[in-house]
Parts: sequence; C-alpha cells; structure tokens
Amino acid sequence: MQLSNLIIETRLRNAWSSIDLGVLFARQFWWRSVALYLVIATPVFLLTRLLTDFGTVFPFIVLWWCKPLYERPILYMMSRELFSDQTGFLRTLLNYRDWLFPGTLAILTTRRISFARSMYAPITLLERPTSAIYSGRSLVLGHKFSGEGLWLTLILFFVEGIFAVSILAVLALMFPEHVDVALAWFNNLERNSAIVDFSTLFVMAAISPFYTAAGFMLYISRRVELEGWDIEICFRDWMRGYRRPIGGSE
Amino acid sequence: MKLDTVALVETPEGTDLHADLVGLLPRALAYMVDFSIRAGIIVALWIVAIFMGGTGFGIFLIVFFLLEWWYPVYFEVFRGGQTWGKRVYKIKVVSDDLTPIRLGPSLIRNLLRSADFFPSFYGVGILCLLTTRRFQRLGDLAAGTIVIYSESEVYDASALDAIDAVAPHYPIGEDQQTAFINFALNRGNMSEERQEEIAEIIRPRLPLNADRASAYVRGVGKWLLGAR
Amino acid sequence: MKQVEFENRYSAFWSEMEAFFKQASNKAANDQDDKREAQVAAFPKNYRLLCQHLAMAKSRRYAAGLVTRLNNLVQQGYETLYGQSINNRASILDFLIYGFPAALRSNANYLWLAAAVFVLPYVAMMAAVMLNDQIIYSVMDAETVRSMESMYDPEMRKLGRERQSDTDIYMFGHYIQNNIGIGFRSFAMGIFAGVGSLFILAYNGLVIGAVSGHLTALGFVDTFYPFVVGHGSFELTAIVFSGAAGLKLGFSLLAPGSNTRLKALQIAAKDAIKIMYGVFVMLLIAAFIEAFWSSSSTMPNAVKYAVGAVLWVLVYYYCFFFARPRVANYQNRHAAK
Repeated sequence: MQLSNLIIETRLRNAWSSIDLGVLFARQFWWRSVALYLVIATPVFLLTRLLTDFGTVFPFIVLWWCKPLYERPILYMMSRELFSDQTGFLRTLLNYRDWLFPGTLAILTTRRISFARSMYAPITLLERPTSAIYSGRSLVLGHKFSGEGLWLTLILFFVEGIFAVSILAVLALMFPEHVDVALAWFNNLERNSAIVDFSTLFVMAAISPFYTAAGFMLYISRRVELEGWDIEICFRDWMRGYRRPIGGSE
Repeated sequence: MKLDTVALVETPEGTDLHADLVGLLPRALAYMVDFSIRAGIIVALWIVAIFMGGTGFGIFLIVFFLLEWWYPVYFEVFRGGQTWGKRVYKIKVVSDDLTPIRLGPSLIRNLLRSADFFPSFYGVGILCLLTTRRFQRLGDLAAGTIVIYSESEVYDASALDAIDAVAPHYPIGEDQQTAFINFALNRGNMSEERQEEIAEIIRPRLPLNADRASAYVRGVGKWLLGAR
Repeated sequence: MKQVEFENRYSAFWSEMEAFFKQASNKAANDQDDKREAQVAAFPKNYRLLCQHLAMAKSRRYAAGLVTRLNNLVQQGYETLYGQSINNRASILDFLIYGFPAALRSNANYLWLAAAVFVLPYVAMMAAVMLNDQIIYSVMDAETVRSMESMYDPEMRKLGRERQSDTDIYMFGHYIQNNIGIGFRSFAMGIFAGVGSLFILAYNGLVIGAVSGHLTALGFVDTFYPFVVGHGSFELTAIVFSGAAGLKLGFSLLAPGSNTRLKALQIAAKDAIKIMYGVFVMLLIAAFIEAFWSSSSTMPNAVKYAVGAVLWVLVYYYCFFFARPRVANYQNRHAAK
C-alpha cells in the first residue's frame, strides 16, 4: 500500500463528499465492473431460473440476496486500481482466490443484513478480520458514516427500481401493444418475462459499480481520517530528496 | 490529475475560487424534503378547497401550478439558491462560474425538470447525475448551473487549547501548512502512536532540539492558525 | 512585510468589508444610509484591494487561517460584483415589449417548422374526421368523444365545460395548471433531439384537428368556433412557440456548429427561454379569456367573432410586425451578451 500511488485526491471529506467521489471513481471502471458483475450474477440467476417455476419471484430473491458476492470482484479490482495497480478483467478473474473465498460465508449470512453493506464490505475483503475483530473494526470505521451508508443503500435500491421501470416505460412508449408497464411489474410477470428479467439483471449490474465504489470511498475516507493519510502523503512529498544540511547530526 | 469532486473557477482578477460539487444523494434527499413540503401544502389546500367548492378548487389548481413550476425558481433566485430542502442539506445552486444564479438559468433548469423526469421518476436526471463530471442533470447542463456545498468547513479551535504554539524555524509551504494545521486539529482522531509515526517522517527537517516530533508539529500547526 | 505587520495594518479594513457583506446579505438594512452609499461606490476598488491581499498572502505563504479569511472575503466580493441582478424594472418592461418579439423574429426557422408540424396534422385530421366519422376514435376513446360533444351542445349555458356547475375561477385554475404545463413540457422535451417537441406538437394538432372536424360535422359550428376564437389566438400560437423553443434546444445538440454540444445547448437555451417568458404570459392571458369570456353563451356570436378577429390580428402584429426597427435594435444590443 503506497499512499503516493493513490489515484484520488486525499483530503478530509464528509460522508456525502466521499460518496460523490465514489461515483467519479466508479465511472472510471464502469465497463469492467459491469462485466465482472455479470460473469457471476448471470449464472446464479439462470440456474435458479431453471430450477423454479416460470414467473415466480424466487429467482429474484436469490439474485438479490447474493448481491454481495457479485460485488466482490469489483471491490477487489477497485481496491487495487485505487493504488494505480492495473487490474484488468482477466487478471481479476485469475486472482479469484483473493476475492472468492475470504469471508464469503459471513457476507452471505450474518453480514448480509447490513444497511450500509458496501461500506463494511472492504473490511471483510481487505482486512480479513476474525469475527471478534470485525465487530470492533466495523464500529470504529463505520459508526460515524452509518447514517449516510444507509441512505446510500436505500437510494441506490430505489434508483435500480426507477431505472428498471424507466426501461419498461421507454419500451412501452415505442411498442405500446407489446409492453404494459403497470402490469409488467405487478401481476403480469409471465407475459413480459424476458424483458423484465434482463432489464432487472442489467440495471443491477449497471448500478453496482456506483454502490460498491461509494461504499469503498466511505471506508477509505474513514481511514484517511483515522490514519492521517493526507498528512502522511504531504510529509512524504516534503521529504522527497531532502537532505539535512551539512553540520546537522542526529 | 487525481480524482476529486471540486469545481475550480478563475475570477477575472486572477484569483482561484473553488467549491465542492454535490452529487446524487444529498440532492435526492433535498428533493424529497421539498417534495414533502409541497405535498403537505397541496393536501392542506385541497381540504380547504373541499369546503370552498369550485372557486376553492380553482385557487387550489393555481397554487398547484405555482408549486410545481415556480417553487424552486423563487428560492433559487431570491433565497440564495436554496430551497428549504437544499437548506437542510446545506447545498445550493449556483452558476458554473460560482456566481449566484439568475432568473433565466433558474427558469431553464426548472422547466427542463420535466425532461429530467422522463420517462419515470427522474430516470434521465439520475442517469445524467451519475455520468457527468460535475454531477449535472439536463436542466443544469442547459442552464450552466451546478450544485455545491454551501458551507465551508469551520475549524474547531477547542482542540488546540492544550497545545503550546511553536514558531516554525523556517518558512513552510502552503501545502505543508495545511498538513501541519490538520495535524494540530487532529480532526480524524488519530491515535497517539499514529501521530508519532507520521510526525517522525519529517524528523530530518525538525530542529535538532525538538524532543517529541508530534508535539513540535502540533505546536507549529497551532502557530500557523494564528495563535501566538 | 511580516505576517503580523500585514495583519495589523489591514485587519480593520477586512473587518469593515466583512460587516459590509453581512449588511448586503441582510435586505432589511437601511439603503439610504450615507456611509453605505459611500461604501457601495468604493466597492470595486476595495474588492481589487482584497484580491491583492489574497494574492500577497498566498505568495508569501502566510498562515492558512489568514488565507482562508481572505479567500472568503474575495468570494463574497466576487458574488456581489458579478452576481448583481440586472433585472430592474425598466429592463423587464423593455424585455416584455421588445425582447420577446425580438427572440421570435430571430428564430423564424424554428417557428415555421413548429407551425407546420402542428397545422398539417390539424388540417389533415380535421378533413379526415369530416369525411369519415369513425376516424376520431383512433385518437380519442368513446367516453371522451361523448363528453366533448356535450361541452359544445347548443343547449348548454356555459360552453366548453364538462360540468355546468364549474365556476369561472375553477376553470381559470384548470387552464393555468393544464395548458401552461403543456406549453412548458413541449419546450422541455425538445432537449431529446427535438423529438419530444415534435411529438407533442403533432399529437396536439391531431387531437384538436379531430375535435374541430367532429364538431363541425355534427353542426355545432355556432358554439364551438365562437368559443375557441377568443383565446385560440393566444393559446394555439403559444403552444407552437413553445414547441419551436424546444426544437431550438434539440437542433443545437444535433448540429452544434463550431461549438461543443454543451456550449451550443447553453447558447440555444439562453435564447429559447426568452420565447418561454412570452409563452408563459400568452398562456396566462389565454387562460383568462377562456375562463371568463369564451365560455359565455349569452354574448352574441358576432361580438365574439369580432373580438376574436381583433385578438388574432393583434397577437400576430405584435409578434412579427410591431416596431420593427426598435425590436431589431433590441436584438442587436442583446445579441452580444
């Protein structure tokens, strides 16, 4: 972890500003993130889709519950890119041991039901604490920004819904006879099933880089604060090439 | 160029001004506050209109129109770029050269609200906020406006009481000054060990008689804030 | 100069400027105050001085606390100097009289296009509905057609209303809320490469054309036309104008010329919004006429036609022919800005 390689401007930020920075950050790696997300989410979805009856909500519940799993490769990739360590799509997949296993059970069970999930995910993935240490760490890092972390989860959840409905609305505008927006969502899942399925999956993938990066930046901002990253970077720059004038001694 | 959420503007006098840009979340929350206020007024007025009959509903519809289209314009132009919701979240609308917003741009951005609302619940507006560098929706892009945080940070000087100010032994650059001051204020609540560790980085630059590096750096920070 | 010396020398001046800005933001302050007047007169000079101080403090690496104080002062000064509203009464009046027609006349291309997109579907639909009485059901459902028929039934005391009990003020509110909203939307949706505006214009042309054709075929000529002739001049014209303003937005994105798309959009929006001010006023007038004048069934039709004709002539005369040299002059004066 070489602080001078950070690709973000380190300064003390409040939670909102950290989330905003996360949006800028996510945009840089958006395509790669979406691809990584779909690589894992699509099989999960298709599998549950095959195993259950047509038109039930069960696949969606599984798809939604396993979200932390698809976000992991994104977070892994972003945590390296943050320090200018180029980590492409293939390299991320090849390094699957680094992100697929550590703490996977926890994030899909006890740590799944967290309202500020993406802010705590980096603790599990990057620090790999035991569960005793985890609760202390999440309190120190998360407590201050937990309110904003919750809004992040809630609002991006709504944004997913808005985008999914928007896609259907645009389709309904273009093909009025084939898509019925109001029905598509509530009781006519079967009729428009393919459209609903793919728009839901795609919208989830499209939003996930923002959600993951914003949570990651909340985490990073707390570490900048608690560990004085901004000060350390500045002092190290100041010392670069500096030699104590002749005559000085320790 | 490192990633940052800042808007920089050079004034005609050659002075740089900067402001922090506001993204989706605070803007969405501020909108919800405004929406609730407007909805409250509309419901209250509707109840009054029931008792007044047709004329009451006529007035109700006019107020509805004003709240729908002119509520943000009024606050942006005459109340410093802040609707009530934006005031709650300490954000405001300004022109992209950081001057206060005028009637023309305010009207542009608020009429185009209906385009941002398309196709449902601000779908286009949210997409634009997530994809433009300065977090602008269509209305902002056309009007040349941005939303910024309205309050710059205030130092909490009480953290400094226990520190003795130390005059620096030679000039310190602007960037380093900020670091010294942040160190002294310790807004991030760094641990003792961490403070010592960071201060030791610049040990070679400290005077030979400086005993504890952290105490010295803290003292200089306080001095730089103006304490003597 | 040492920092302490610098601070001692100018601190009083900075405090004075801080008080000045505080007072400026507080509207209740007494504007007649002599001292304040002198301060306002000296402001540009003082502002430049503040800028100098900030530059000095930065280049000499004075303490960040001082730099922050000066930065705040300069920022406030900047807002005060460049943010001053030019919207005094004289210029608003000047705009309403000359600015609106100037904006229209310099965007004639868009007006012609918008008018064509509205009028051609109107005429075509009207003719089609008169030839075949089933065609109206392609744009309206049976329920709407029935209620529309009853609105212009010659037996009615109040024309153009679904319920006879609706008061004039209720209808006034309804027209404001509904019609001005349509006008605003047909402008805004133009940002999608003009498609939204085209759609709204054509759709309104089709529906209004269908209504006209249907009522004419039914023989409600003596109720329908006297009703629309009064406010139509303002309402229909304003809808075409707002569509034209929207087309201007969309066209700027399609063909930005030598500018970036963003810059082209901002320039177009600045001009288009001038049309929208006028559209707003026109639709207000239309709502007023429609609610309080057009609906009357006691006023002789001859009077209604006469007044309607005068209004049509006035609207088009004002928009396109009135005070040509002065409007052109206004356009030239403001084109540079």
